[in-house]
Amino acid sequence: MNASLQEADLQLLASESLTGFEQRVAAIPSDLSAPFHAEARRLEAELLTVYRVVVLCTKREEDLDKVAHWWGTMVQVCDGFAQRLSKLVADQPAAGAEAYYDRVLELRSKCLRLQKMHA
Amino acid sequence: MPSSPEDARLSAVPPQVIAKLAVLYDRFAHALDPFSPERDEAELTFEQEVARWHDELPAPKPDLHAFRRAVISRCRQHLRAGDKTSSP
Repeated sequence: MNASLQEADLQLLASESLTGFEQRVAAIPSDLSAPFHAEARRLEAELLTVYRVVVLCTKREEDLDKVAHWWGTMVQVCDGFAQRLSKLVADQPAAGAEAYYDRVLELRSKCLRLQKMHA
Repeated sequence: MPSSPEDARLSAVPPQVIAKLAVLYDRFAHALDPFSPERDEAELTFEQEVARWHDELPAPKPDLHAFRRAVISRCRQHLRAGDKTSSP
């Protein structure tokens, strides 16, 4: 039995995080700020968890092309999270979510470098 | 026998240097905290060292990307060998 994590599993993890984020954000009264900030922080933390899963997957992988592919997938995941945070920053400027958006972009940049150096 | 021109050029990099590069590589490529200053410092130092070794290669030499990839492959082999000897 192959017990290794697959790319589809990673995409599922990311998708679940984003879906949960969107549902919770949609339920927050628009005149509040703190809950939006908390959701941005939570989304960034969940992205970090996905990143750590990718690190562990790449650590075990012997094929450099597959390592590059994992990091490429992580770049796409970062794009999805960045898109949601960018919208939150635009829709809720008082939420102070810019810092989390910046960190997601920073993480994306690092994952892109990892993808390129292994490809 | 080296499997590629890049592998052949890696013979110019002493094993003890590969060991040090492997530590740096592990520190940034497998960092569980991607935002730590130590992670970024390791990546910067790794890149500088790889570029330096590449510069010192005589012509004709592989491009820097190919050389770096070969170094990474060797570093990963070194790390895996270390994992095997340390496992019970």
